[in-house]
Amino acid sequence: MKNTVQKNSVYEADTEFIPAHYQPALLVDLALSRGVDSRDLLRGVRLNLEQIKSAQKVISAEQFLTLIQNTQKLLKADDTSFLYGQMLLPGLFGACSQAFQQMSNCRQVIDHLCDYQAILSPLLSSRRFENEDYVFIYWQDCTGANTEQLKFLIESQMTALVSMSDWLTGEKLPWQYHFSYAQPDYIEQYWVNFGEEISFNRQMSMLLIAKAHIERNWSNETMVGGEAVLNASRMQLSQLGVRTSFLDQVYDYLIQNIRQQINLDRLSEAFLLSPATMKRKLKKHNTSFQQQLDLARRNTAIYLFHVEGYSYPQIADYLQFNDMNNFRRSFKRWTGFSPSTLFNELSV
Amino acid sequence: MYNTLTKKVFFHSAYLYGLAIAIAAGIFFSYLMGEVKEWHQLNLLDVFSEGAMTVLASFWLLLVLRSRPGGRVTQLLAIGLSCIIFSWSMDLTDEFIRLPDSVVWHTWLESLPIPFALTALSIGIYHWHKEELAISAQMVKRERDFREYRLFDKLIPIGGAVYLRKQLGILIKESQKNQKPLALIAVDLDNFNYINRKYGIAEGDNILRALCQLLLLNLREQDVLCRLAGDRFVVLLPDTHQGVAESLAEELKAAVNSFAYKDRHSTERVFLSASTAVTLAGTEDSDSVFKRLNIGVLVAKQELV
Repeated sequence: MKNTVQKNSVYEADTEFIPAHYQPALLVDLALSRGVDSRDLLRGVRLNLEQIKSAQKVISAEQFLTLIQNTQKLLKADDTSFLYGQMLLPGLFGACSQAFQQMSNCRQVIDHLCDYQAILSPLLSSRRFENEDYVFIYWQDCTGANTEQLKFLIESQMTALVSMSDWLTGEKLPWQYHFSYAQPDYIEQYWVNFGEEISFNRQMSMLLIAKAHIERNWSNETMVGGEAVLNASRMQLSQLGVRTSFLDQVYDYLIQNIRQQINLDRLSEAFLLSPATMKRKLKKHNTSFQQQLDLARRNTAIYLFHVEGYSYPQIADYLQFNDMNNFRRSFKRWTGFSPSTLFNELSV
Repeated sequence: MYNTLTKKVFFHSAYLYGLAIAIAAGIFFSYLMGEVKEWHQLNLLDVFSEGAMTVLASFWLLLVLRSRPGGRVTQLLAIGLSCIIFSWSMDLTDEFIRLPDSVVWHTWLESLPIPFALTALSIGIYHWHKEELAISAQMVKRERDFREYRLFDKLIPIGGAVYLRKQLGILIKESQKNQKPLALIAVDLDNFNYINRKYGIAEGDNILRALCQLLLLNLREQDVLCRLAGDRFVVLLPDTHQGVAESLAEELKAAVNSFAYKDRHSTERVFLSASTAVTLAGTEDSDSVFKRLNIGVLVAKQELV
């Protein structure tokens, strides 16, 4: 068990590090091109168009989330997140964006997306796990987005990855889409942008793809150029000054210690914070200790099921539940579904 | 959009200034000739009801001026409403200022504008009716049986997904009642994603708008074109067999293929092509019809590769 957690290069909701001319500028351009007034759009964001154009301004996750909220409110169109997603990747985010063009298969794309999340997707952490046949890619809020903003972010990140893979591979890969929420009113946007392999009310929002598809090379690797642009990406990340979010750090700690008796005091101790400060920080990110613990346990259960092939009692045992009824109730609280639904989804 | 709106308000504001000056003059002369009532002399119920009438009529006038382009119909409606507001506001002035019985002109100010107003409004509404008929004729192939502006697509002046669903529900019932087949065509642009990437979203929007006009030109009188989402359009074809729908779909595809849209910046031709799918609506709900149609599009796209 790790005793303390590194506090360097961690960003919180109010850390100013997102270059305003990266993702925020794409969203601003989209809103302006659809006739939204720039003053209304930037109200409360503490940002103006000149600052974006200067390419010098960095903003915080909070500011970016306000911009997203304003866009949703002013544009009132169901396709905003999807159009925004289509422009997101590879994007014009320096070496990290250029690197995509040097890649020769989808696995490299997914790895790069997860490794450089702080630059490529600062509001939503990208994670993946895999079993023998499938790769599972999922996204988690890492800066305190509310439900509406989170839906927007997930729609746009999924669109971004799939649209870029279409573009790089020149074909439509058979992605499967799971969403943790109920089918939205604007389901036709999902049909047109994602196709027919979509299902709602799942345990978590994720993309699934058979390994065979993402390991197929579409070009030969360029040894020198590829290496150079990856080094440049590394430098870009170190210049950014932050690497991971506070919420991701909490989540990682909980995942690593999921079999211990964790409570708020233990977590605070590891972060060298008082429990009151820890509580306040979590609240600032629109969450609580219990919510984060539930999230970590839920994801561990899903991971154990898909990757390790654990049975239902084995998972309960791993997560230190002695009583099956108790486990069933808890699982229902984490996901909204009883564990049996997970086991009924044997075919992913 | 914002600019045209301000211009329109400016263009119409002559009515508002005129009305304000007339009302101010009326109040001023009443004040000169009469005496202001004490608080306890006011009939609050009258003040409230007459005040509310004046405020509401002003609201109608503002709506008419804000929403309508200039022209004869707007002029007539605005004159009629202005006269009504003037007359009612003079009525309201009475509640605050007592005039000696010898003053006759004030009664005229109250009563005379009303016949004018009603005549102007009647002629205005009659022409409005004519105008609506003319506009409806232009909306053929975009709507059928009912209009709901809230369901219009945000981007393109045709019905969006919700309008499409409602329309499909109605047409399915109709086709069952009359024992006539109902066909649907989906038209989906190929690789529209790349077009958005290459030319930008604003240009992508322009292409969709132009494409909508192009598709409308190729449809029959009874067909209805809607936008499902993104670059996917759906045509509802009442009283149409599969074969006819298929040949119509081929025509739409050919029209898109030979459409030579020019990019605004480079003025180069943007090459477009579309995939289509056809299905007949049976007795099922609209979602399963859409599902079949969507799968049809996917199959058509696979043949493309």
